[in-house]
Amino acid sequence: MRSATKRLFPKADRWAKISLNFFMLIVAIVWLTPLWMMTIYASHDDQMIFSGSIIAHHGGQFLENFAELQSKQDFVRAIINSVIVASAGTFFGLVVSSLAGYALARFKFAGAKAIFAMIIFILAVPGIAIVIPEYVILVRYMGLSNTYFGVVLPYLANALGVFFMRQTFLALPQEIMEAAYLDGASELRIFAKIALPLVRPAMASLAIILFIACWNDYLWPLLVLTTEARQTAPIALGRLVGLNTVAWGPMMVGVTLMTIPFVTLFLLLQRQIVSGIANGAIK
Amino acid sequence: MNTSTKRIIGALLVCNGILLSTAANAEEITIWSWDTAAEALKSVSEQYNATNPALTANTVTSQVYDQLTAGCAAGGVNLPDVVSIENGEAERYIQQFPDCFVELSQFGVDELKPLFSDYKWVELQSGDNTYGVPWDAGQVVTFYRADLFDKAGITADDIATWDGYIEAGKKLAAATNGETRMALSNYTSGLNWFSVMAQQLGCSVFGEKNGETTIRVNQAGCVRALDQVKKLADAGVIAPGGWSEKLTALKTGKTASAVYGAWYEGSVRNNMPELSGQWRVTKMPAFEEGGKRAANLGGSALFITASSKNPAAAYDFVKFALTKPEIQIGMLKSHGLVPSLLSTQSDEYMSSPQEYWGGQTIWKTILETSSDIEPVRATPYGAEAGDILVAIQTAFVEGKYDSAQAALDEAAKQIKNATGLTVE
Amino acid sequence: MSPKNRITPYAFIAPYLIAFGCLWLIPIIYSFSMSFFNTRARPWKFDMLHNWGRLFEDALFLATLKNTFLIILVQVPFMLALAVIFAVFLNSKLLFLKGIYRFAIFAPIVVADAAYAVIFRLLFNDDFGFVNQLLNAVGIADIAWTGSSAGAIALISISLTWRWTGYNAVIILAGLQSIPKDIYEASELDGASRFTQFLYITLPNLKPVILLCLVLSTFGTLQLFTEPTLLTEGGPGVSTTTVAMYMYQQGFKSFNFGYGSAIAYFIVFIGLGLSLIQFKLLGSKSDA
Repeated sequence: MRSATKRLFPKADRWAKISLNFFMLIVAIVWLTPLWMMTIYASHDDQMIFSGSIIAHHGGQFLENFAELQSKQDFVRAIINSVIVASAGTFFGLVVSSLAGYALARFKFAGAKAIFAMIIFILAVPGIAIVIPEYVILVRYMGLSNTYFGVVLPYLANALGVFFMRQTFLALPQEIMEAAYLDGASELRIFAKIALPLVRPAMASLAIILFIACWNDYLWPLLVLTTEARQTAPIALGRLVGLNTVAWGPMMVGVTLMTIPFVTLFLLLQRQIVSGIANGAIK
Repeated sequence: MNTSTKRIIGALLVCNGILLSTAANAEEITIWSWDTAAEALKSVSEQYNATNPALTANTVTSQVYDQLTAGCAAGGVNLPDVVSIENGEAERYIQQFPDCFVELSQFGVDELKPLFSDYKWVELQSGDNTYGVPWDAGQVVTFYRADLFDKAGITADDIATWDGYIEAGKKLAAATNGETRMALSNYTSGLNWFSVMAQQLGCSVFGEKNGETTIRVNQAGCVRALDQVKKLADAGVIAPGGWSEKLTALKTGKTASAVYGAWYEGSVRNNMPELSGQWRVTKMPAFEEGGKRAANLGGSALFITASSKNPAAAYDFVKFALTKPEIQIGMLKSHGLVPSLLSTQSDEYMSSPQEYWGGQTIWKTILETSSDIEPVRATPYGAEAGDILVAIQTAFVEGKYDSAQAALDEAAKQIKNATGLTVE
Repeated sequence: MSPKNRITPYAFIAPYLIAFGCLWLIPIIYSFSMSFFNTRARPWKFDMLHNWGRLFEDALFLATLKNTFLIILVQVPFMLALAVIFAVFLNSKLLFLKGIYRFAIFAPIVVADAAYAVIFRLLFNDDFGFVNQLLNAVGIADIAWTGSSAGAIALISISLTWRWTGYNAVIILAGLQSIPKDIYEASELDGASRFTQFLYITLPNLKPVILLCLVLSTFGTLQLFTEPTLLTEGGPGVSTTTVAMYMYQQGFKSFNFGYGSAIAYFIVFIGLGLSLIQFKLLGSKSDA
């Protein structure tokens, strides 16, 4: 087939190849510039950042900026808090979503349609609208103020997660599970031993989606976690932006610290993440 | 990943158990404040703890408002004992959530009334009830760079009026090849200058008639203030900018002055140590020669929450922090928080020359304006009216209204729509 | 299928339903009913139209609605067109070093909203930002990215495009890869050019996927909050204030809880309505 193409458009092919590669090169440079500049800004002091000239090289201020950042906000602690909250939210979110998604995909039962319709509806509701009643329930009636547990609980019921897992389980060949069922295996066993291992890649990508969603959340952890020792990274960053003394270098160190680990992880797991997001969306 | 996640979750469940079991300690009071103010209160807490071994005061830096709103909306949970609220924000809290705060008459707050100017109290009260004790003040003055002014041949007298301020701005631009403006102001995102100017002219967004809150924003003083903002912007002597842009611009010499609340002193001094000796303070510009050169912008107060387990102890701390001249002067020295406590005015520090400010006795200049300040109430509708006015102010500066009067008539109409109040 | 035990499916879905019921359903019912109360009155007073009636007389609300729709009608289609182009190119046999390009375009997916907003705020700083310095270097005057309405709208659009094009391209790329190869091979033998193939094979086959991206982006834009808050604070004036920001201001800043709720559910209905329209216009039966 390749040779057929070449035969038909030999000249057009070469130009197409050159312009396509050139175009994508430019796009890649433009797309990576913000992240590159982030690391550059993180390594300069404010004097340099606001010098009015283009800075294209890394400076030697990274550690000083880091020290200043830590003296204003315990950013390392905030990132650890974020990792705790997001990991717990991801883990429990995965458990709850896969159980619910499995039920919606495998069984016909009364109310299934209504539940599914509700899930779609939830996707459209802005979180800010319900944050206060949610807060009343969790903090006032359940007494979970300033606890990681209180922050994580709402993440368990993730509409997108259930939707995603339903689509994933729907794509499995039903015969395998049916065979196990005829062999007398319990439904929980079929779910745990047969269905789950088959959807592991999709689980991995849902894990990433859930992790990013928890990691990004701002207003909810801000309200529930009232002490500095427990605040998450986006809140620490928000506080830095609002400070009387705005120091951009240290702030960029904070941004770098909360970005680079994930970009690196993404680089390593790119194939799985990308195929996961894609599968979840398409099926 | 799963096992490590489990381990983390296990650990955090244990942490929660510990936290929940030790949270309710009646011998400790917690204070919420923000940023510089929180830092100042932290050192006050330490001083307090040193003299009151029976009680521990613990100040926490917090993004106060969102957390306070949620806590009050939930009926008083997850709140500290003491919280700082800006004067302009106070009324919406005490009107919307009167049950969230402790009425202070029971502790004898009336004794404190003569210790502070009247304008500091109006927004802390609802009817006969008083909910807060005044803390810092925001006398508006002009901070300026003497070196840049010298270079352009401008003196402090030149900026005694707003029109003079514009002329000075033109000179400054000419002397610096257009590199340096007079100031940045938040006129496309806030109302700092508009409200300050309106105050000078005795106008305010809201007023009171027969005990009812009314809308006054389209009256003559406000119209003139809005016109002046546009004149400044049109002349190019000011440009729009928020908090961080303002500091950056001052630090890098893109702007040479700031017309702002006195609490800005600490920000200038702490952010620009390299410019020590170059800065001066003068009274804010008036609308005409001999006109009023005083207004207030910001400043805050301390409140006690109704959910406090020990409100009497909390009040004791509040009194300690706010009514002792030496404590107030201490916060001024360290953090530039200007006391509204009247007795601090006679403190010798207030008339001593300040090294950073080129040996000028800036506090004398600043405090002299206090008695001229007109009390203004933000009312509970301040935030809503503010949103409307920012939009209209921006549109007016961009030339989308024929006159300031037309713009503010429209604003009054929209505010009426939003609040149900009557236009006076 | 039907399980042995009729309770089984409910047991599986129970954890979700319990969490959902307590932490989403009750708050949703509560906040929705709040929209029918005058929450300024003390105590709150039932008033059917107090908030809903105000929506259409509120010039600010209408302005924020307009801003939001501007993004939905201009930035979203542009971004999705770009995502289609990226996906087609990344899928092309003619492209070398695919891994690098894929990484560059997809990496923003894992960057936190608050983090990238702060980066862009510095990059696009009117006076000192890298972007204006670059423009100056090639002889273009400073653009007032935060100082002018047009600049601010452009800044928000650029930021959103950077952050979300990759996400959409991932979905579209997967859609591309599920188009059967033999259709292309057959058309090549017929002598169809690449562009013709794109127009008559690729695009029609991508329709359901693009529709999905369109619906997701519409929901996302209707809830857009972090970027304009951190980048432009909604200004200058209200030129970049979104409906979601206005809802926050009404609820959290002005304490108009009822009105804030009315705005929230107005957004929900608009979102559901828009996606229905999008399905009608672009979708076929199999997508619905």
